[in-house]
Order: sequence, then C-alpha cells, then structure tokens
Amino acid sequence: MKKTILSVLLAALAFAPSVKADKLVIKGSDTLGAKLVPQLAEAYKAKNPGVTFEIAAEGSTTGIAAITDGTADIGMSSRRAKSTEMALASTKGVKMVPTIVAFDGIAVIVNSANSVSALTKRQVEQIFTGDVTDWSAVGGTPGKISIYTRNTASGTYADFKELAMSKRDYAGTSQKMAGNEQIAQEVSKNPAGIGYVGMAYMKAPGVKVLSVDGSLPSKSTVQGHSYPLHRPTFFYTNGPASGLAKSFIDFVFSADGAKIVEQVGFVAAK
Amino acid sequence: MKRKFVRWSMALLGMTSQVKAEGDGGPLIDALVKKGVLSSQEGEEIRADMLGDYSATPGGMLQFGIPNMKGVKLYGDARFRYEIDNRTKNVGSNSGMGQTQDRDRNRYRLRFGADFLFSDNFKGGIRLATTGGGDHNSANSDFGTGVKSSNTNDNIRADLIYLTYSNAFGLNWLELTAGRQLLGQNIVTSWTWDSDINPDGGLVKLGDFHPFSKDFTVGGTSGIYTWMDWTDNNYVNPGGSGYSGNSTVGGVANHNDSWMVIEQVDLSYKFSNSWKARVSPGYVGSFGDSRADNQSLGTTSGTGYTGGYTATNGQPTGLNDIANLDVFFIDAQVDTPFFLTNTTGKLYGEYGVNFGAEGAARRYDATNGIKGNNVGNARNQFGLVGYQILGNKGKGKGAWVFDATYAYYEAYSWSGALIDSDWNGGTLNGQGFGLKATYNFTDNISGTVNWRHSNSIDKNLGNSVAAVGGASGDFSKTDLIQVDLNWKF
Repeated sequence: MKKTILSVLLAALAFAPSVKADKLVIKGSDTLGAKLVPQLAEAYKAKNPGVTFEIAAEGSTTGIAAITDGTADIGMSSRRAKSTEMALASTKGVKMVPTIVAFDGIAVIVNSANSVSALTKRQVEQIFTGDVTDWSAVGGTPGKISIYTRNTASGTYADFKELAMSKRDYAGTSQKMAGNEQIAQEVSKNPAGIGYVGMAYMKAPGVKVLSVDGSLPSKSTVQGHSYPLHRPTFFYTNGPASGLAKSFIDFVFSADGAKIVEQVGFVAAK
Repeated sequence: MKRKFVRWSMALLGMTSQVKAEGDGGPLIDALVKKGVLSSQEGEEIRADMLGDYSATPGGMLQFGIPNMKGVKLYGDARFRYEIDNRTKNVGSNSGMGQTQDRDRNRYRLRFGADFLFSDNFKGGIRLATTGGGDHNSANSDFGTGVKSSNTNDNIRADLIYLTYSNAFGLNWLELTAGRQLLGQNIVTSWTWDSDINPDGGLVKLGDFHPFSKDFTVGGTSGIYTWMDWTDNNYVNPGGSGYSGNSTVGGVANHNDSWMVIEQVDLSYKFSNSWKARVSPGYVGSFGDSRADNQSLGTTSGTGYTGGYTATNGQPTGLNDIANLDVFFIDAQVDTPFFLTNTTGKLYGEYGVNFGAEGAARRYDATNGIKGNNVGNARNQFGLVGYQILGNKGKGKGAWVFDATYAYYEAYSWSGALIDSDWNGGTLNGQGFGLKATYNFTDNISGTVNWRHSNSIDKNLGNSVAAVGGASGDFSKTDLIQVDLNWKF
C-alpha cells in the first residue's frame, strides 16, 4: 500500500507543471534576453532573495510559442505576435497580453573601416534585398557587400523586414546569425560586412552605426520617432500578468528598472 | 473604457472592413498613438484585443502547417463545353478508307490548384484536374452518364506537382523547377504543344538579361522531360537470352527510358509601349529507347524498310512510343496596336524542321504507307501564323479576344502525341485554319466559340502518320466546333 502511494506521488511530481511559484521562466527574444533581462533579473533577485530565474533567449518566435504552450511565465518578443500565433493561442485557451517593456531602435552597422557612414532607407532596402550588391553603388569602396541578418525565429529579422525592406525578401546571399552579438562580431571582422542589431549592441568593438535618412538611433530619436527603424519590445503573458510575473514587470517599470533599461541601451517605456 | 470607445468608434466609422483585412487595425491605431489619443501601451492592448477577436473568425483560424510559410494562393477554373467533332478519313487510309465520324458531345473540365510561397526563395504548386479515361493530353471528361452508375471516364489526376527555386544559390538570373510543371518554353501551346500536357522533368530558366539597353531582354530555358519511364525488368537471368535493351524475356519487354530535351533562347525588344517583338529559336530532341535510329525495326521476316535496317522483335508501339524528334524551330510574336481604340494586336508564328523525320518515316512505314528514300525528309516541316486582337487588353468584364490562325503540319514534322488534340483529330499531316472568339461576361465568367478546320496534306500515307505517336487516324478533312462557358475562381 505504501509503495503504491509513493509511486502515485512520484508520478504526480514527475508530471507536475515545470513552472514553480518561486521560479520565473522567461523565454524568447535574443534582443531582450541576451543582456537586458538577465541584468534586470539579477537586480530583482538582489531585492527578492529566494526567487530564481530561467532565461532562454532563442528568438521572439520561441517566446510567443512558450506562452501558448504554457512553458514560460513571460515570453520576450521584439515583435508583435502574428495573427496566426494569436489564433493558435486562442484555440488553446490562452489570451496573449502584451506589455511594452522598452523601446528600441534597430541600428544598421558596418565595419568601422567602411567609408560609408550614411544610407537612405531606400538604399538599406536595396542592399538587404540584393538589388544592390556592391559598395560602390552607395558611395563606398568597390567590393561585394556581405550581408548578415538574424534567423527566421528572430523578431528583429521580422521587424527589419517590415520597417526597412518594405516586407520584401532578404537577398539569397545573406548569412543568418543566431543573435545580435554574433552579427556584430562578424561585421567587425569583415570590411565589406553590413548587418543590423538592437541599440544595446551597437557599441560593439569594430563596428560603426550608419545614419538612416539622416538620423542615428538614440534615446531621443527613438522616443521622437525621427529614427525610422524604431520599435516597441514586449513581454507577453497569458492574461494580465499576475503573481511573480507581475512583480517582476513592476520592477522593470520602477526607477531602478528603468535605470538598468537605459544603461543597457534601450529606451524605458515608462 | 477608452479601449472600448476606440473600438466602437472604428466600427461606427466603417473601418471594420480594414480591421477584418488586417486583423489588428494597425495603421489606425498607429495614427491614434501618434496623435496622443492613445498611449503606446493602450495601442498595443487594443491591437491584441482586436487580433484576438479576429483569430476567433474562420479567416483568423486559418493556419499553415509550416509556421514560416509566407503565402498560399488557391485558384481554379471550370468549363462546360458543347462540341461537334466531324472527321473524314483519307481514301488512302489502311482502315476505314473514306469513312466519316459525326460526333457531338457535352464535356466538362475542372481544375483546382494551390500555389505555395515558402521562405528562402522556394515556391511550389499542386493542381488537380479532371481527365477522361487517362488521356494525357486532355483534361476534359464527358457529361452524359446521367444516372448511370458506372463511368470509367470521370477521373481526377494530379496535373501539376512542382517545386521552384528562384534566385537559386543567390543568383537572381537563375531559376530551377522540378516536377510536373507547366511547359516553360515559348512554344505556341494551343497548336504545337497541347496545353493540357504538363511535362514531368526539370527546367533551368536563365534571365532576364539586358545586355545593351533595358528595352532589349535576353533569356533562355533548358528542359529535360520524361517521355516514358518504363518498368524495368530486374528478374532476368544474366546467363540467358536476358536483358539487353530491346529484347523480350518471358513476354515482358525491357526498355530503356525515353526522354526529351527542349532548349530555347528568348530575345525580345520593346520598341514602344505598344510595339514589342519576341523571337525564340529552339531545339527539341528526343532520346532513349524506341527511337528508330537507336533500335532495329519491324520483324525478322517482315516487310521493313529496304534501306538496310536489320530487325528484331520487341519494338514498342502505341502512344508511348517516343517520336523521332530533332526539331529546330523558331517561335515569334509581335505586339502591335490595332486601329480600333482600346484594342491591341498580336501577330505570332512558328516554324520548325524535324531532322529526325527520315527515321520516323522508316520506322512507321514498315507495314504501311510509302516506302522509299527521303520519305521523311520530304515531310518534315511545320509552321503556323496567326493574328490575335484583344479588346480592353483581353482582361476583365467586357473584354474580348478574336484569334485567327493558319497551320501546316507535315506528316513527320513533329509528334502526334504532343500536338493539340483539338487539331486535325490530334494527328499530323494536316493543314487548315482556326477561328476563335472569347468574350468576358464578368471578371470571372467568359464564353468562347472555337472552329478548327483541316485537310490532309498527303492523301496516301496510310496509317503511317497514325503511328507517329498520335491518335489513330489519317484524315482528309476535320471540322471541330466548340462552344464553352468558362469560369475562374
């Protein structure tokens, strides 16, 4: 009898939900999850001992999917959820609620040795779609352009396509990278390279930021919307945030949280 | 409260159709945020609410099996046809000399397809179509079974299954397609190549290049297509009389597969908005089993050609025979203005010479027809010329098209398996004309009247022309009248 009860208890524990009350699981965007959210988590833990975090940054699509299938408390996303994702969530009884966690600008970066320092939005589109393949066409030193982009799970990949490329396809020659840091690294090694990163990653060594339509990404140009490639970033929750998730989000909007957001390179939402 | 007010206001102002189309009312909400009516967070919450509502609708619930599929286009068309098909055989025919066929029937065709757009420059397509009794060059089936319970002619087949890789390997001038696909070359399809025949194989498409000016365009295609993929007999005793190309073992014929290549260059020039010209020279070649110059003919003791061919058994026969094609052809089209306002014209033509004609003639005149030297070479040319007038550019409600064509196909110039089944009974050795008129009643519904008349070129070739991969028959005269009601969706 005891063995039976013990077996039942063990089985129940094995199938218990993986999300525990004192642990916050956050999955999704590399833009948010590589730097900002880990730093916010550390600061939150310092004020709330006993709370642990599980953070996985494999792309915005994974964050939205994790809320839908119940494997995360917060889904980080640097893009809005698509109608197909909302529909899928709805069929599973999940109500996706977005919270703007910070504003960001997508910086177009080139190798610091590149003579080009400014592009129009049209030229950005032409380069990343493959219409223009040589730096000489945009006033640079002749040479084939090497394009670095994020992969298809990335919210930044989708945002850049919408904001800078008129929703056209990326050039077939573009090389796909897993995260912002990888793009910055490759561009810093390749004099002919061009890529894009969130503002938090534009100060990587060996790269420089191009102005787009005469505007550089900064707190003021993103807030004022004068920089054309600006976007909100999100935390998605199943229904309005509650419990530990709400507590963490409230911390992000607190003065301490806003300070971390600005230090990392984003623009605070509140 | 503000969220509900904004949503109701959008509905009252008649913006619901835009919301339904976009799912989240994006641009409108952006404007309200920009104006300061809503905060960014409020805007996002309204978007999510509206997207959530939309996702509960049938349109919102539509999902793709693959999350990153970029788009799907569903399409189709249906046609009702009344047809009168009268034929008279040549008095020189080996069967049914001088006999006539007077037939009329009601037919239908249904096609339903989907085009898929994937990421990374891939796209694909599938299509189902009706077919009458497995006829490879007709998607028509016959009405008339009424309440009859059995009819083997009401079939559905997959007439398109293909995958295309555009901007292949990052080259914007290279496109690759594999599978059962629409013919990728510029051969005048309604006559020389039956438009119901979608070949199986691979196509490489190059272009467009503009070497001298943007008005001059150069492109090219190279296709290799299956003619017949025979069932190989693997169970042959290697030590016996066994497998060797055309031999027969145990009553089963062993054959190598048959193929066809089509190579073409497209040259076009735009003189003005109303004057454009295209010239497309090309080559069609067949190879593999059953070409006459690849195998022996007739029977060991049969009549055979006296030109020195030896003979063995096991020659395949029927529609699956690959035709002897070494055709050099040129296809051309000139877009012209027309003297009536709001109309345009197209002058088109095609000319071809089959250098494999002699082999075809030798092969098929073994038991029939004319024997002697140079039989095929004297009948190896085809050509057609036509003019088409399009009213209202031929598209949309009220548009119309009138087409007049003269055609000439000598007996060994092409393949009866490929020629339009609605021309000359689907056979070669015919000359004549076609008149066709189409009118669009609405954007989706149109009516067509088509008349084709032909007479034979040679009257005494017997059934040899029938065996050139075409339908059985050798016709002194044919008249085909078709009245169609078409609709697209």
